[in-house]
Amino acid sequence: MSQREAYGSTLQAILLLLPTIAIFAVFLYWPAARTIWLGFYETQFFGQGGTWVGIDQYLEVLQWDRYHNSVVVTLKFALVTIVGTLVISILISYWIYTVDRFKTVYMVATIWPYAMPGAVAGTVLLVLLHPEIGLISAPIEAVMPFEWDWRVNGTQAFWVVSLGVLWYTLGFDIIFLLAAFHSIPDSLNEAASLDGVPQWRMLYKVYLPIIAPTLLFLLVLNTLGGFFGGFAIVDLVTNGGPTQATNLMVYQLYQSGFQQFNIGSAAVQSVYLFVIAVVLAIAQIVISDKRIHYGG
Amino acid sequence: MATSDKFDIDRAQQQSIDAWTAWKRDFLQHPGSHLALVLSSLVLFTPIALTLLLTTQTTAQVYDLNHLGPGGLATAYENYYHVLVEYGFWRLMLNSFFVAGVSTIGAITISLLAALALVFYDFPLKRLMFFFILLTLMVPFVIRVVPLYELVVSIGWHDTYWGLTVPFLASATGVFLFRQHFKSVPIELVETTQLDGVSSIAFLWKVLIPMTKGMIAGLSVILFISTWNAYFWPLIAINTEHRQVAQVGLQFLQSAQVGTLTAYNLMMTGAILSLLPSLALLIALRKYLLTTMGLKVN
Amino acid sequence: MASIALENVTKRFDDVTAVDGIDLSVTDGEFLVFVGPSGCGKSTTLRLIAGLETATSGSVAIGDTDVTDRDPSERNVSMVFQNYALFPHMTARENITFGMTASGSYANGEIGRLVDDAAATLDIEGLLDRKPAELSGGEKQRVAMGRSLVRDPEVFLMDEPLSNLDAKLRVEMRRELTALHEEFGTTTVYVTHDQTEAMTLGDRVAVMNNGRIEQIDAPQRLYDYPATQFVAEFIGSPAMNLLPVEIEERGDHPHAVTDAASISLRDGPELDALGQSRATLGIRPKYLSVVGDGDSVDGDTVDLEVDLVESMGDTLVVHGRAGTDHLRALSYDAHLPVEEGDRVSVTYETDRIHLFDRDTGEAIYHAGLFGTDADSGVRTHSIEGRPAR
Repeated sequence: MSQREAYGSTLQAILLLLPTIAIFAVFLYWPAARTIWLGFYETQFFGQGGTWVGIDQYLEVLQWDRYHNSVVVTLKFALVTIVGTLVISILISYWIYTVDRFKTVYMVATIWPYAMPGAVAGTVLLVLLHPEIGLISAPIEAVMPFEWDWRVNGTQAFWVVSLGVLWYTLGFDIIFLLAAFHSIPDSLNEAASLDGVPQWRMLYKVYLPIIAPTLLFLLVLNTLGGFFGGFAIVDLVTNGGPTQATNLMVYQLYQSGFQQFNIGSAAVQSVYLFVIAVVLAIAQIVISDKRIHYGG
Repeated sequence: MATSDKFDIDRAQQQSIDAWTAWKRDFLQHPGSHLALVLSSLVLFTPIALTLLLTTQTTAQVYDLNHLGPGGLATAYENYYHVLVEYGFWRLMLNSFFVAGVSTIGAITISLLAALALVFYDFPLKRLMFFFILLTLMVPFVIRVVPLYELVVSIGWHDTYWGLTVPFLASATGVFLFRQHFKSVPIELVETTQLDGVSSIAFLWKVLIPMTKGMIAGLSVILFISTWNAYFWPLIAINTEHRQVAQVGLQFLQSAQVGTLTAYNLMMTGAILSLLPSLALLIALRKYLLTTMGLKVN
Repeated sequence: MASIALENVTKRFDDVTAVDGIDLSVTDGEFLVFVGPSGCGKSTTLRLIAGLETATSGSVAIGDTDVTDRDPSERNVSMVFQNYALFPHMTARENITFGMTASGSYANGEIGRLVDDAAATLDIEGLLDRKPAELSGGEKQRVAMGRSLVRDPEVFLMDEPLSNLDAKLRVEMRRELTALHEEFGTTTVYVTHDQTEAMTLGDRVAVMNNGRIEQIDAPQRLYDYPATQFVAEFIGSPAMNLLPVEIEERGDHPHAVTDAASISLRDGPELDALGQSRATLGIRPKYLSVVGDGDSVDGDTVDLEVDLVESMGDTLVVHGRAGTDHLRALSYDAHLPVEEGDRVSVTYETDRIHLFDRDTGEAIYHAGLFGTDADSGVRTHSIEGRPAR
């Protein structure tokens, strides 16, 4: 027994842990497990016992064209937000790392969107990018050779949603990357500056390998965020359209379960979404783990 | 005496000149970084600046693309008054404050208790308990939303704040962070309280919590932002309009009309109102947030 | 105030035995110091008395009460730690009173009076409203002692309380600790790795090694009559010379024969009990003095081939080889012109040698007669026999 464990009463320990354990058991693990089970039933309304259909519903969803599209949209969205968030936040935190003055000001000026609700980002973009009256739409139309209307153009709608999500996910990554950059020992910089190594070369030859553990951590979190995020913007701005171009899996799940009350189908979609995200996240950990040097 | 005063003034001037030249030198040393950061900050802030601008305009002015200037304080006041009072947004804000406040305080309290047990108690299956808590980070909300809704309906919490708060009162992040922090408390502090026969709750209240203030503040920001910003769950768990939270309330504002025109200025006003509490908390407690997330700030 | 008794106490952590069957009794009002290298079990022993560790076997008694299974708070002991263990968010006063208020057995007015008394004793009245961050190391340690003092415990326990202080402050605090102990007379058990602290503070000193007590004795007796080779090496600086010798009968007397010298020993039962001819001879450097140019030599000498000279300011420590043996000798003339490669003569005092069993390390022979109860230390040892090692 380590000396930190000063109290021996198992009963007290259980009482202290009970709230956390009970809430997780009842409201997290139990529903998560039940999701898989619900997939075997076809249910039309909440609270009604459904009809056992076994594996059929799992197979049925897979054969659904609308769902295929949703998976493709989600993969594209995840790729853009995962890579985009990481690259932009690496750049911003690297820039902050290199300057000596105004560090704190830049820090606050770039991380504040972490506080922004998805619904606010959606509402703001809905108006500012409005094809007819949006303040940002006019400059876009002036510069770009195409007609700006994301209400009919699926590609444009996809980018509105992706960039909107990017906007408020950057801050989180920047904070962690700044912590990583600033824990790089100064002696490395001094050695490199004596050797006259250019800064950009330092970034990808020295800094990135050193902060690799943080990069992996963020990559995994961004992956989970990429697959489960974006709901508020889609719901408020595009409703999954036009022509399902922004119909993310999480939004399709909402439509099936809470608009069409097809609970079994929504449960099946939850399972698939979870499997894709977690498999990708674990794959990233396994693949990167061999290439990352921790410590020393 | 006179000479020393003069010397002080000289030194003060010298210092401000030093600060300016130091900044200039730093800018000249890293012009690319400074420019890129100014530009990035502008890009990130422009949408909110434009949104603020629109909240000072009338609906007609929003529709008039030639009208780019601010509309005036009186209009701004009218917009905010309109949204808060006439559309009853004050009530939704209050609901949000209640839900986010209770969830944050509750989750911090419950996490502190769990971390107390995990670090300072000796009991069987401790590792398993910790793993049970940590693994929840891998079970995102979306995987459980359907049965969770079913469960909340079946215990009668649908359309109540019980349903909005209780399922989110436990926080793996909180337990994890507090556990880390408690483990760094010098062992002698534990032992000296042991010699005095201090109870575990008194130890938590009188020693651990005062020593964990910074992290409690930092975690409050994280928890408050995540519950204040929530959209999906309130959207399905609440269906009485005046019980709804501010984020979902933005959807109601989409149907606000002035004559035949959609009142975009009011939507923007709602957006600013829904953003402010989270943003204010982040800026006010930024130091603690950054420290909690591992960034040392001076 | 109370006595302390440990009976056959053993403490094992997983597969490491930290304390190995210790018997110890501390009398009421005594100041006992544990000293030994790191990892020898001295801190664990102190923590067993405090109740911060539970004995694997054996029993601990404070006063007439067996406290082996009692919680630390039920033993009426107080402890001072090396890193002070002050709560960073509390003022000095709050730190001192925290334990008393938490245990709830004192009235508020009483607490205030006790704190003022303790503060006056420790000369920290002006610091009571400061937080630890605003105190120096010495002041922090005074506050930590204040916290112990107000509890008025049966036993004071101190775990290297001076180790974090700088050298000058340590000397000053040592003097104050002695004065405090004289004033209050509370039974005190003190752990340190510093032999000077041990020798100056303790009524008795217990030297520990490998979880066992090698010797408990008054400081001077530890120096004069080390019971084991370990004690002989650990106490005294520079450390005692130890060299292998053969014991041979030459003429009337037994002799200890080294490569370079043959030393006559006094006849006695202790050498007969040895039962073999091999032993380890110990002699402190101060009894090996380098012969200067003008010195008259009386007694035996040995030649030393010098390979290192260290100046201590007032003396020189001369390292060298005599035959195959490495020796450290002293020169009381700090300006003696001696350097590496020189050959010097060294006198040795035959009545200052010790012999140790080469296998067990037990002392078998002390040549000198220091004080009245000269060889009783050795006698008791040979009567008790050698504890199993």
